[in-house]
Amino acid sequence: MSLDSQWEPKIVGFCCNWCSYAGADLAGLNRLSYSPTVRIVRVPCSGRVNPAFIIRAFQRGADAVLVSGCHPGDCHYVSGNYHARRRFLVFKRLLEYVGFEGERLQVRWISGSEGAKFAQTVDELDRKIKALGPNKKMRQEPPGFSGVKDHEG
Amino acid sequence: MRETARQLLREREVGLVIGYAAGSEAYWVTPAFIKEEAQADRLVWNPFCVNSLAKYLINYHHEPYKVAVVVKGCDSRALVRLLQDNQVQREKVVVIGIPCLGVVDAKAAALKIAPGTRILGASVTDGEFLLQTESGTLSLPRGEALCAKCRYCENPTPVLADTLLAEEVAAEPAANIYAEVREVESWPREKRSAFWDGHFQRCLRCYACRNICPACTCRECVFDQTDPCWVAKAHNLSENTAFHLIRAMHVAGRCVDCGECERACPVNIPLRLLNQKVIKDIKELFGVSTPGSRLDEMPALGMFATEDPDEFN
Ligand code: SF4
Ligand code: SF4
Ligand code: SF4
Ligand code: FES
Repeated sequence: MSLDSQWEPKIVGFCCNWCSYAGADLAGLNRLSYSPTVRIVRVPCSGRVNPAFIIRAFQRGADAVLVSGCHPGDCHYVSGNYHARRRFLVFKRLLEYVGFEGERLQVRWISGSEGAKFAQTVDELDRKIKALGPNKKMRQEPPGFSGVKDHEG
Repeated sequence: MRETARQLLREREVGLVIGYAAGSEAYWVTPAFIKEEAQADRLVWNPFCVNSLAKYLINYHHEPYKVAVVVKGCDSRALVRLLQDNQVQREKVVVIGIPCLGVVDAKAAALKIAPGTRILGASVTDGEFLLQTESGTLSLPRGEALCAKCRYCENPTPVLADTLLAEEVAAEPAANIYAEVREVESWPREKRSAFWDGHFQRCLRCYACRNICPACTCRECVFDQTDPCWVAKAHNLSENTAFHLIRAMHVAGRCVDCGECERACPVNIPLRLLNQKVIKDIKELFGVSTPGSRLDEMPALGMFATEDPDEFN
């Protein structure tokens, strides 16, 4: 059982292998420090990110999700990020419509040479989520739930 | 309609006509599957013909014969969906189109008459809706009796038909179609959240909305899969919300706004309000028309344009 005072945001970052994951790697190589609240999941392309992944992340306790891919025009698979752009323009609006805070889903284009942009994006998101507090929408009670609510604000 | 059906069957143009037949009460029409000329007299057309017949076509996909199907304007968009998804082959369908003045929300109409009064029939004109009951004929303003989807119908005349059974009906100006969506959008976030939680909470996960949907023809639906299991069978708000968001995204850009999901839902979840949000956004963002209204316009989320709006920089 954690107390709200100990709460730290959990951010899940879906990073495309060819640009953003490399960008995150570069941030590390350059010893840029960025918020440790992000957990990176490497995906082949931003076009691989199914809205169901994001939904699952929120169900299992993510406070925010970052989807990050190559800049438009630079996708390793040519058009994956163009498809992703359409999909997430729509999905983000749908999440807001059903009552999510829109800030909790971020989509960003970050190239392999933009280590600093990656670090900055994560830090900014971390700040926003700290201000918003834990996500409760769609959150599942953890397995073995004892009856005491974890994050009742 | 009967004559068209008779002729199609007599000349062996088709092996089956799918239309409407009278049910046990005047306000129930049932789908009719007519294979013989003599049976064509069972066919009816009246303002209670709310349900869409298009999806039945996929059951006859492998039959050697052609199938004729009766479609209203909205149903014709569902047919376009099935054609674009290769669920139905154009050369195997004869489309009997009915230009439509609107169909009736029988539940709403029933509230206007004394409880227990039997409804004997109905007709719709440009201005009013006439309900024939045991105790006389009642005239209701169109707005009070029509199904929600008919109030701002974009395609009263089918977008695709081999024969039209009446004069074309002009579409009403479409400015207000998404008024209800805009209203929900204007609410504060907490109110939107509570509103949808309240509805999603009640969902039985019976999947009637999926089964009836012309955009839901997957051989194995993600909600029936157990491995990987994207939505657990457990009935709780979290899983129910996941179900609704995933369903909405699966039909995003493909939902033709036929309203069948909402009609089929046993607990009246406002599914159109969810689908229409996505339709409205897709139209505004990508400049497309309502899905299904053009056979040559493929689903918006299956393609892209380099100049699409971008807010992710
Ligand atoms: S989601 Fe509902 S309104 Fe849209 S096509 Fe399917 S049944 Fe029709
Ligand atoms: S809900 Fe999704 S997976 Fe299921 S039938 Fe519809 S589109 Fe296919
Ligand atoms: S028809 Fe209604 S109750 Fe059944 S799964 Fe769909 S939304 Fe839920
Ligand atoms: S490979 Fe990076 S977005 Fe497609």
